[in-house]
Amino acid sequence: MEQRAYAGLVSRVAGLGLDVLIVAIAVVVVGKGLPLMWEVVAGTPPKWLLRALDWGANLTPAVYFAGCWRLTGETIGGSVFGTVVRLTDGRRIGLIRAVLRAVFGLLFAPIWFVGLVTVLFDVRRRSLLDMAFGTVVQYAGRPGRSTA
Amino acid sequence: MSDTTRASLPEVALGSAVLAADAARDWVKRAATAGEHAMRSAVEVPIDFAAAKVVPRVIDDLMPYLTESVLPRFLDAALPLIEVKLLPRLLESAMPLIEATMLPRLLDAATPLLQEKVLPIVIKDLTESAELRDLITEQSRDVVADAAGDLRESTAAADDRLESGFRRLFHLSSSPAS
Repeated sequence: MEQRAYAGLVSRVAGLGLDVLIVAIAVVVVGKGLPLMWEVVAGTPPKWLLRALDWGANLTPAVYFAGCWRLTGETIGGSVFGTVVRLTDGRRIGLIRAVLRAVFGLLFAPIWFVGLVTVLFDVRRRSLLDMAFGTVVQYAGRPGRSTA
Repeated sequence: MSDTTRASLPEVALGSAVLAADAARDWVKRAATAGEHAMRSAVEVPIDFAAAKVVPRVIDDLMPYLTESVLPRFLDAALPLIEVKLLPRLLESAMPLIEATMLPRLLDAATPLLQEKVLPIVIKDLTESAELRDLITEQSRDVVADAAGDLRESTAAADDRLESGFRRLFHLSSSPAS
């Protein structure tokens, strides 16, 4: 496949930046916003609910990334900047791979970000995360930048 | 008989001459009137006849020929001329006048009417039009899609530029893309 079919550093960082923003908002909504809404509507929330929402907030980023990568291959940031995560043969990634990619990436976020540098000199513009999980990031069906 | 009541011979002669001149003038006037009547009747009768009988028949007979043959040919010949030469010149010469005098007057006269009567109706129709709403929604979608497409193209171009710059900086072999 032509190298131009794979997304470069600017598109990926821009998409990732938007995703980070979205996830940050989602975490605040789940961790703080929902308990506050409960408090306004029904008084002090029970402890088990606070704990559940706390866990939910912690899991939100992983669920967001893994869910998006598994379902469409595109996160919202990726969709805006036209990038899609695929297996090296072009298929959508499976659930386990998506979850592992998300959890590993989020747990070792600095490695995820620094590892993006390899996009600049890898033939298929793969980051360290891509190399580790056998994935590539392609342009989402743009003229002259086919994803096939 | 006294001298005052008896006319002299020259006076009689003059009076006779005057009478004769009056009689001649009357006769000429009557002759002119009679001639005029005769002339008028001589002209009017044929004209009435022509107007009543001849002209309609001529028109009836000529009309098919005119409409089927002459008029199309005339229009074929005249329309290009009108379109190419006459109309542009007319418009060109009339436009300054229209702009200077007619348009301001028309606008002055029409604007209050439009504001009071037409605009509310138009706005009401537009706000209630489902088709227009769909059109606006569709157009907004297109605008967003165009903006997203532009953004994607820009970032993709930036990808290529950054990568080629990086490769030049570190003297790496150029990529297949560049």
